[in-house]
Amino acid sequence: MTAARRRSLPVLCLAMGSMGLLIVPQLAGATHVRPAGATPFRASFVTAYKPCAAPNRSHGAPLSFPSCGAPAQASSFLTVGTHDANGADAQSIGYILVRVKTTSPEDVLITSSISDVRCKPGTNASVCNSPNAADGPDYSGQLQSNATLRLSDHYNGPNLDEAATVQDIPFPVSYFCSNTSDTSTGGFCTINTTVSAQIPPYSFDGKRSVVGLGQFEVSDGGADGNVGTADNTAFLRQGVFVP
Amino acid sequence: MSVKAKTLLVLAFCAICLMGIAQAASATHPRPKGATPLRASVVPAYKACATPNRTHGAPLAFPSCNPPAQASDFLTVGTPDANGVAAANSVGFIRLDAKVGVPGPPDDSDILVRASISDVRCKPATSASVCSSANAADGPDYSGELQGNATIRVTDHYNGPSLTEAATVQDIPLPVNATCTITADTGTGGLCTINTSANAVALGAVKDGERALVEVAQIRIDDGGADGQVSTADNTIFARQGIFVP
Repeated sequence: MTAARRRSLPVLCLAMGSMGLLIVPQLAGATHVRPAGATPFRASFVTAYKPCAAPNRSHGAPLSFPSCGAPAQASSFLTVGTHDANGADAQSIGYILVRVKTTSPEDVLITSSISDVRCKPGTNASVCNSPNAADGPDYSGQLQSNATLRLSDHYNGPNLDEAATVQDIPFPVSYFCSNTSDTSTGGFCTINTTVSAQIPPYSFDGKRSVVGLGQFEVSDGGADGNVGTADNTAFLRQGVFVP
Repeated sequence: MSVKAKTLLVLAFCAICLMGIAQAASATHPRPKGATPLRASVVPAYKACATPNRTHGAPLAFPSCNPPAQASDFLTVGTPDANGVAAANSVGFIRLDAKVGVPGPPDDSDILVRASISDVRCKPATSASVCSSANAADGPDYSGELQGNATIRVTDHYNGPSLTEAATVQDIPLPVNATCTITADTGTGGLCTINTSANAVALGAVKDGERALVEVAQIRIDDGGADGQVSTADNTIFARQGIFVP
């Protein structure tokens, strides 16, 4: 090997190394298929019931499956007005809307509301102080929506440029409920937020975030109306209602 | 009191008791005023991260798995830096709408099911019989079947011997099949659609006035396995409810 070749060898190695480093991140990010877009996600909410573990009835055909009478609400603390169940007219409507904001700073917008939320007897009087003409008083405590997220994006590894799927993570969002002046309807619960507001200072820009969403469920605040304590139960779940 | 009068009294008492029981049976079913629609955008499904080898960036600094592993062994969608197509083109959703019928026969209440997912492409393992339309890049169009799936929990008034009692049914699957067709555009994959209803899938499943409250678990879309048929056993998850932030 000539002296000139010996001098050029380190340069060549550096150049090849640089090319290799360029290729490695490209390969790392080359396994992450994604859609052109996926938004909005809108789920209406229905009252959550406990699963039927010990059937004592059978449903009518064609859905002739074992069933459990009487239905058992999953929430021990909240309910909604229903004339033939508790004497109050059915007034509750609830939904969650999740939208993607594609302009920088990219973000996920979350809007949700639930009406006619009423206390059951087990709930603390401090969050149940607005009585109604029938059934339980308005609820003025907290609710919490929950959905498990499975995130696949390009924001992983030491250089934060590698594609990966994150272990499933919970994503709780809290609502605040307020009394209404109408004595024929229960409390009103709402949330209007963004993911970046919930987990600051997160930025979605350019991360190609594919977010698989689990079932949306709304929990009550337990006996004390506070979602930060441990006795919360499921109040609503994503679904549809055919009257 | 005569024997006849006593008998009538007992019968009347029993009738009142039975009415009371029936009313009590249906009096335990709180429900919303309305709940519709449920419109879920769908994203490619990835396998769960079981053996992490990376960490996601803060503030979501959770363990992660590189590379991401698609849950489907048989289908994919076009993505420039993943499989060389010019542009990501896939858009998909599934939507459930409650149809409120007019009380009285015929039963015209229903749950309408619509879905669409575009740019559906075959992976190498999928049978050539459902992958016959080549594209300029990446896999050919898929022309087999997909199946929308969600576990549902129904609570309604259509239970018991007299079909008048309120009850919660054991969780049941609700599979709905989609058919896929090839597209003329060599820049995009197959198009899969569903336009049906619960009563079209199971005649009489939704009836007028039964106060059917349907909890819907995570909605997912399965592929048709290697043969493109959802009725055979090798199907894998292709997409699930979610959002995409570019």
